[in-house]
Formats: sequence, C-alpha cells, structure tokens
Amino acid sequence: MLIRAALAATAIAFTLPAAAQPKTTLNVGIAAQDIGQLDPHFAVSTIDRVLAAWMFNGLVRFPPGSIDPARLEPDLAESWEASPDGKTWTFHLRHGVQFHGGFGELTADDVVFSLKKAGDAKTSAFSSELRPFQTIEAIDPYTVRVVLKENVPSVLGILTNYAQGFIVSKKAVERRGDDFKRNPIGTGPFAFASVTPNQSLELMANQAYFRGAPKINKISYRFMPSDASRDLAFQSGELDLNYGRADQAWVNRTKALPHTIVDVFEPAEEGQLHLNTTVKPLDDIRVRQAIAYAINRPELVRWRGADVSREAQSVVPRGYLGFTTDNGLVGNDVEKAKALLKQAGYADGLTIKMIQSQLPEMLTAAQVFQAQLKRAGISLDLQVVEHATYHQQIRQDLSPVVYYSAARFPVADIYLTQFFHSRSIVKTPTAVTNFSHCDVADKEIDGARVETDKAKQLTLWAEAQKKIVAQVCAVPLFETLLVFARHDNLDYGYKLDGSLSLGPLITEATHFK
Amino acid sequence: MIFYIIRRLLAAIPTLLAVLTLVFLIVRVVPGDPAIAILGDRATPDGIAALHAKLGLDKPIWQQYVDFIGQSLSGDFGRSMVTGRPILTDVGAVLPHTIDLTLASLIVGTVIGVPVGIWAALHRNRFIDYTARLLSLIGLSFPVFVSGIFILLLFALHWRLFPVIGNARLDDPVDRLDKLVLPAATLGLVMAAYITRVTRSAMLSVLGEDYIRTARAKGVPWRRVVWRHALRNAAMPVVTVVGLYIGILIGNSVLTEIVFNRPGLGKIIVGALNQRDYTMLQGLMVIYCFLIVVVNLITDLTYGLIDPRVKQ
Amino acid sequence: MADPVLSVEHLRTEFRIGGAWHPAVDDVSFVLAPGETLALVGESGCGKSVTALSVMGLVPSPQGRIAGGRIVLEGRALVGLPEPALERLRGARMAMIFQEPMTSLNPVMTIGAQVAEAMMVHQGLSRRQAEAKALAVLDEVKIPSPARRFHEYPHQFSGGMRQRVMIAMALACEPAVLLADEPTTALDVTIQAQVLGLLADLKQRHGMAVLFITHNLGVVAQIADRVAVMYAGQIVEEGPVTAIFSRPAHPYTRALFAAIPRMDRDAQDLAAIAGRVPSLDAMPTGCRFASRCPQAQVGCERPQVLAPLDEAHVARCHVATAVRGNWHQAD
Repeated sequence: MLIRAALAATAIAFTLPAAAQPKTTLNVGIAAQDIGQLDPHFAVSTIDRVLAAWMFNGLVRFPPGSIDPARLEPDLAESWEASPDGKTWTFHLRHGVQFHGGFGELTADDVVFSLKKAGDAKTSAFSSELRPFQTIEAIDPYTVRVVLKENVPSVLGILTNYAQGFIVSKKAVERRGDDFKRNPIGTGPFAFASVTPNQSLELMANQAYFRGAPKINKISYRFMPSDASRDLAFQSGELDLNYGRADQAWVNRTKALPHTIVDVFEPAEEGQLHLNTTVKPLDDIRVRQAIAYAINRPELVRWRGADVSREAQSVVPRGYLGFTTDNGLVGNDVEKAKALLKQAGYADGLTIKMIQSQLPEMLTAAQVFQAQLKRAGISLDLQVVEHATYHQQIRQDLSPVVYYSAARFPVADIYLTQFFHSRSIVKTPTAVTNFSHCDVADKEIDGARVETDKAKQLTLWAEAQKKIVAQVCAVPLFETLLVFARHDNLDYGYKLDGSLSLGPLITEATHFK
Repeated sequence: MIFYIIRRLLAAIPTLLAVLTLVFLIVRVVPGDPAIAILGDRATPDGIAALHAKLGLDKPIWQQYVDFIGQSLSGDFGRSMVTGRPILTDVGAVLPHTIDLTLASLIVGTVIGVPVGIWAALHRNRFIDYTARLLSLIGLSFPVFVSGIFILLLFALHWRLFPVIGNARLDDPVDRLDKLVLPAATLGLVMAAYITRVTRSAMLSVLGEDYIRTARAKGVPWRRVVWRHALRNAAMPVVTVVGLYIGILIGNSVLTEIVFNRPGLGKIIVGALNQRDYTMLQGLMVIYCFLIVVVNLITDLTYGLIDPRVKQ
Repeated sequence: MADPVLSVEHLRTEFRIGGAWHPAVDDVSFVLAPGETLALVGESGCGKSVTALSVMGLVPSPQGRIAGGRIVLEGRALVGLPEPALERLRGARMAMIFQEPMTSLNPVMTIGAQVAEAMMVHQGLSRRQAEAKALAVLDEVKIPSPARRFHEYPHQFSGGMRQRVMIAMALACEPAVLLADEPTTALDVTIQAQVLGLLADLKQRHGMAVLFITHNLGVVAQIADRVAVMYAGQIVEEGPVTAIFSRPAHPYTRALFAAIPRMDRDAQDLAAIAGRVPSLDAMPTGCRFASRCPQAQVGCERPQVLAPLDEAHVARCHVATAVRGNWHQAD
C-alpha cells in the first residue's frame, strides 16, 4: 500500500507539474523511433529537420511562421548586396554571435566552411542545391562573398535557415569529426544537451542567443512512434506539443479536447501519380490522358479531409513561386477516359503494375485512386512492399506508375527540376526523382532558372507546367498540410502559417502563458 | 557445473557464426538501401556513392563479410550507419529496460499463470476451469497495442496513477518501478494467459500419469498428491515454455515498448530494420542470439534442478 | 470358508460414453479368503482392472462411477465411503501393484522417499523412522545394496527392479489385501519368474490375500488358488485352479486355453478367437460371447446366469451347465 501510494504520488508529481511556477520545460512528442542525424546537412527526415531549425541559423531566414520567399529577412547576415549581373553576392555578418558550448564567435570562416561542407556530397545530403555556386570566400571576419556560375531563381533561398543553408561551427566540426553528427554545435536559440537512444533528446536554452535568451529553458524531444499512446501522453499533459496526423478524424477529435489548439500549416506535400512515358502501355499519351480524366480530385479531398488537404492544381504545389493554375489540367470525366482508352485499343480496359509502400497513409490513398481508375476500366495492380524497399525500387525504374508525395523549397524551379527535368530521370548518373522520364520542359526549366527578368521567369515556369500537364507526365492528386497539436498555454510567439522545417519553430519568444 | 556452462557457451559459437552469416546475407538480399534512408528522397547518385564509400558498402561483398566477422569476433560491433553511435552503447543503454520488462512480466505471468493453471486443471470442465480458459483466450487474443492502450487509458489518463511516457531513469529505482508497472502488467497478463494454458495442460497430463495413481493407491491425501507428486513433474513443460517465451519476449516486446514509450531491444531492432541500418542489425542480432543462448542455458540448468533425469 | 477378507457383491461400475452410462463391470461378485490368491483372468478391456480399481476406490471420476453393489474389506463396506476414509485404507489395509513399472513410479522422487511415504502417511512415522523401515522393506524385496540405492531415482533402476520397488511400496504397511494388476506382463520372461517367486514368497510370509489380475494362464497355474474368468464385464467361469485347468467349461475359457502356446508372446494373440468383444454401448442381452462362440445355439440369446458345474465351480453358459462333461470327450 505504501509503495503504491508513493508510486501514485510520484506519478502525479510527474503528470501534474506544480502550477505555481511558470513552466519552462517544453515536452514535444514526435512520431519516430529515434533521431537520425544531428548534422543539419544530413537532416532529411521530418524528425531531424524539425529539430535542426531549433539549433541552427542561416544567413537569412523566413520570418518565424512564414514560408513566403518574398519575406526573407536577416538572420546571421545583417545585410547583403548583389552585383548588377546578379552573380556576385556579398553578405555582412552580424557581430557577436556566439556558438553553443563555448565554440566562440561566428565568423566568415564558419560560413564559408559550412556552405562548402553543405555543397560536398561526402558531407551533405543537399550538395546538389549548391551546384550553382562557383566560389564562396571570406573577405574579412564579417564579410562573405559568393560568386555564381549562373543565375539562380533565388540565391537567398539557398541560404536560408533550411537544409543546406544552416551554418555550423567550423571548429566544432574539425575538432569532433564524425562525432559532430552526434554532438552538433550551432548558433540557434537551443543547444544540444543529450540524447538517450530510442527515448528522447534534450535541448537547453542558449542563454547567449543573439536575439536574447529564450524563455523556454529546456526542450525534451521525445521519440514516440505509437500515434495512440503519443496522443494519450498529450492528453495526460505529459506532452505540450504533439506531432499530429493529416487525418480529418484526428483533427476533429483533437480539436474537441479541452485547452487544445490544432495548427494546420504550410508547406503542403503534393501527391502526384508519375507515369512512365517510355513503357507500354503508358507510352501512349491517350492512356495517360485517360488516367488524368479518371482521377477525381474533389473526391480525394473529401476522403482526406477538408481541414488538412486540398486539391492539387498543377504539377507544382500551390503557392510556390512560379506556380500557375493556367496549365490545362483536366477534371474528372470517366466517359472521356473510357473513350480515350478505346481509341488506344484498350476497349476492355487494362492493367498497370504499381509498386506501393505499405505505409498506411500512402497505401490507403493508393487504394482510393485505384478505385477511381477502376471506374474507367484501368486496373492498378498494387504491389505492396515495405517502405524502404519502395524507395529503392521506384528509383530502379521498376514501377511504371509511382505515387509520390513531396514538398520542396517553395520555388517552382526545384520541384520542376527534380521531378520533370530529363537530368533527374531515375537510373541516370544525375538521377533524382524523375520517375516519368519526362523531358518536354527542359528548355523552359533551364531558361527560367537563369532568367533575371522576373516576369519572363514566371512565363517560362508557366509554360513548363503547361507542357508537362499536356504530356501527362504526372497527374496531380491532392496536397496535404502539416498538423501539430499544442496545449493553449503554449504561445509560439508568432503566428504559425508555415514552417519549412516541417514543424513549429521554437524561438527565443516561445513561452508558456 | 562451471565447466558445463563454459562448454555450452563455447558450443554456441558456431550457432552465432551461422546467425551472423545469415543476418549479413539477409540484410543485403532484402531490397532497400541504407544510403537512401540516410540521405532522404532527394539523394543523388553521387551522394549515394559517396555515402556507400564512407560506410564501406562499395567494397566487394566477401570483403565486407570478412571485415564484419573479424570485427564481431573481436567484440567490435561497430557503429550505427544512421546515427553513428556505437552499437554497444545503444544496446547497453536499452538492455536494462528490456531485462526489467522481461523479468517483471515473467514474474507477473508466473505468479498469476501457474496457480490459475493448476486451479483450472484441478477443476477440469467446471466453472472455474471454463472461466480460466476463457480469460486466457482473451488474454492471448488481445494484441498488446489494444490492451496496452486500454490500460493506459484507465491508469494513466483516467486515474492518473502512472505516466504514459515510460522511459525510466535507470538510476532512480522508484521511477524505474513506477514506469515498469503498466507495461509489465500488460505483457505479464499475456504471459500469464500463456502460462495458464501450459500449466493447465501440463498438470492435466501429469494427473493422468500412472505414478499419480500409484501415489493415490498408497493412500496419499489428494493435496499431497498435487503438491508433492504432480507439481514438480508439471514444472518441466512450464519451464520449457517459459524459457522459449523469454527468448521471444526479448525481441517481441517491441509493441509493448512502443505503446508505453519504453526503450528496448525490440524497438531498436525494428528501427534498424526500417532504416536498413546493416551494422546495427548485425550487431543487434549477435547480441540477441547471445541472450537467447544464455536464456536457453538457464532453462537447461533449471531442468537439472527439477528433473533428476536431466542431471549430467 | 473362513470369513473373507474381501468380498465383492454384485459390483457394477459404469463409464460415460456419449452421454449415457454403460457398465464396464456388470454384476461381478467374488470373495477372497485370508491368505488366498484369486486370479482374475481375461483379455484386456474385459473389466478386470476396473474391478480392482473399484475395490481401491480409484475409478477415474467424473467419467466413471460405481453404480451398484457392495465391496466389503475386513468387514467394512467401502462403496460410498468418503475420500478421506478411503485414503486411510488405501496403502494401509489394501494395496495395489500396477502393470507398468516404467511409468508407475514418480520420476522426480527418490525411491526411498516413495517407499517411505505410505508409512509416513498411514503410520504417522517421522521421516527418519519411515526411511529406516523403508530400507528394511527394500531389503526384503531383494533390492541389492538398498542403502546405496535408497537415494536414487526410478530412471536409474531396471524394469524388474522398479517392480520390486512397487512391491515394496505396496507391502510397506502390511496390507490385508494386495491387488496385483498384471505385475509381470511388462517384464522379461526371466525377470517375470523372479518377481512371481518374490510375490509368492512375500504372500506366504505376510499372509496377505492376493487378487492377481492377468491374461496369462501360464502365470495363473503358478500362483493362484482359485480362478475367475472375465469376459465383457462379467465373470463367466469361476472355480479352483485345478478344476478350471482340468475341466474348463465355458467356451471362452476353452478358447483361452486353446490360445496358450502363443500367450507368452503377446496379449494380442487372443485375437486368435474369431470376432470381437461387443463394445460397451452395444452389449447383447443374451450371452456376450455368443457372437464368437462355435457352440452358439438357440437359448444363447437369453440372459445367462452363473450356474454350478460342481462344487465351487460355476459357469455362465446354458450349454455347458446343461450337458456338462460331454465336451471333454470331444476335445
């Protein structure tokens, strides 16, 4: 009885923190087994990316809560200027920025080192993003100069607080070597403290943060792969912030909880059906058109939920710089689909193989559009495999139809290049994720990238989208937004409309009310 | 005795080698590339090639094998391909949790399962027996992610007696116990269901044995027949099953670990599998096999204590 | 006859088959005088073991039950006695030896403990006293170096030695009646003879009455005073061993004798008698052996009763008891 009482007491002490003192520890639940890479240049999974944005800065940044490339503002760089031809950029660094853990003041050396590291395939997963950079050099301790090989749509976009743009401590990387990815050093509001495998990662406030000491003292980032028990921990108050699900039922249920706010925010992941234009029967454009007519986007959104999803309108996600709705995308028309199939010689319908991940979210979506295609007489033969297998096999060009969902930096160039430029065709030396073997818009994509006239650039991107849609290299399906839940005593300190790190930023201003 | 133990452990080395080889091959035969898991969906061919070189995956497969076996035999299990953490450190960090959970659920399972199983056997085909059998069937058919969530709802959310997040601090015995209660109860009940069935059927088969009739023919009172004659004989199959089950439990408690947010060996194995973390999987399998060997050894030694026929 | 030490009267023991009770032992009566050996003979399944278990109060429950009759041991009626009272008699006043020595001993208890147990239970002896007596009993059943083997386990003993241990256990409390259920069947022929010799020896020394159950007529000749032949749950013939051996009357008894040359091999050789024993749930009302009987005739379909052939020799066959003597010439 005594032990029981004692146990109960400790349990309550744990679950109900004393109300008198203002809370300064933030408990975050994230759906993952464990952290992957703490080196921000290798942070590719959601769990790693959310965390990296709390520990690191870029030269420039999106204002917290925004992903609008037009609103980029100073971060580690106080100011910058570009040469008239747009090829030489000079950044003036903020003075007195301190790295975590006594690694000293940030200088131009650190910036040059970081960008070079991020541009090297051996030390970064994002090296291709920095391919347009010819030289990166320190002019003096507080000045960095970047020279481009060619024009890019957004130099600042590459240098934001996102992926390749994160600045690390040169001294720390050199001193720690391979250990840096387990014990990273940045300049952000929170510093890495410790990690317990399979359990949690702790961050401490960076008291010397250049925007001021954070109001939150400690972040406990907990790895909780079970949705159900993560939700329970959130309900019991053991979590303040919870990774949510883009699932209408979940959103409705969570919204109904007391003192709970559900944040739905950008960027949306756009799911598309990529059709391999070089294999039978998809090499016949009429078959691809039939698929486009067979897809019913409003129905997909009804299935997915209106709060968390919306119809995809182009082969580039909505809101990206260069996105256009004026692209000739067709709506649902089963009769037209059947007629096209008949013309193509498939009056009795046809069967197409598709390798599909067994991840429940992806698999159920696939089953929905499989049913839609069936109405037009197209049987999708789903070959369900484990997720890692799926990723490997679609890159080996083994699936004529690929369902792929992705968000990228919100400029059309990157999305178009990775999915529809012939350079990115899978199984080529420069492969990325062009599963359709699409090559009809290479000229426009390349042209837009180096175009300095903004209006012309937009026209080229629009033209590229039209051509890709006309060729039916891919059929846009729906876009899924990001969802997190928090208790209403947690105030981010800004309005959360979007976050390129795929999770809410925890800044120096974030606090408990 | 000690020589016997040492001999048994040495005899396990060929098994371990075979398992090592098998694991080495299987992880490479299964499709999926750790480099894609690490570099993400934008991985470029040169990025993948660079990572392969760094991880040693560009070497011919026989050379990877030789390196791996050599390292394993020298006790160096290497580092995780994904996190770069030493495998032994990771395993060392979670092993106490796994052992805690395994032993605790074993105790819960035995303390409940053995008496209930005996009781059911002694009241065969009566109400008590039917109830025990029904309950054990329910216990076995409820998956842990259902019963676990249900237990969490009741004890963690409704009564708030225990936390949902079960990652205990190992240096704090109270905290450790506090966070063990619910998962051990969940897994222990499944185990109890299992042990109940085994005990019941072992007891029934023993009670039908000739020597039980002999004992009764001697005029030994029924209670004494059960406790002195039947129980120890029925213990053999129970120990066998429990021993086998512990082996399974160590790896299979993954669902419990996930639902109760506990660290553990099962969870690491699944994580490594999803990420195609070859080195981690290999290391884990060696450690896992070693644990199984130890558990089997303990089981065999227990046989010797119960049954004189097994003594060396 | 002196007061019987055991008498069984109209015993009926039933088993439940498919929801209905069927007698495995049907109206069996016999008496056992002090010091006498009665052999109960018949093929397996005829009810002879069930008869012994009925006496011991060990009919497996709930699938079996004693449905009628009386069993009187040393003047005490056993049927209906509560279990604790039966427990006090079992092993003390009546004891039983089973057929299979390999499985009838508890594998995880030492020989000594198993022999001493009955004395601790019945005579209230301390462990040490009981063990000292057990050692003496083991010596009596001629187990070599009993002190050394006392702490050994059954698996360390041969079949013959185990049966000696079983006998020692049965004799430990000097019972008035010993029920020996095929005690030598599982043993080699040479060991069989030794064990039989030992039993005869012990019986003489302790003055026990023995109910000796066997299917082996050769063994019967060696050990029994009287013989009762059972078939399909009934005693079909009973008489002094000399009478049965010289003038078997019931056609079944005669068939058993016809099968003798093969009987030291295997009980299954009794299949030499054509046909099958009727199953428990399909017993004919008339003679139960009629379907296999070469002499079957009109009248066999009526229920048969035990009728005297001569003094102390009875048979359950209207043909044999009506025209007795005729068949001897025919053989």
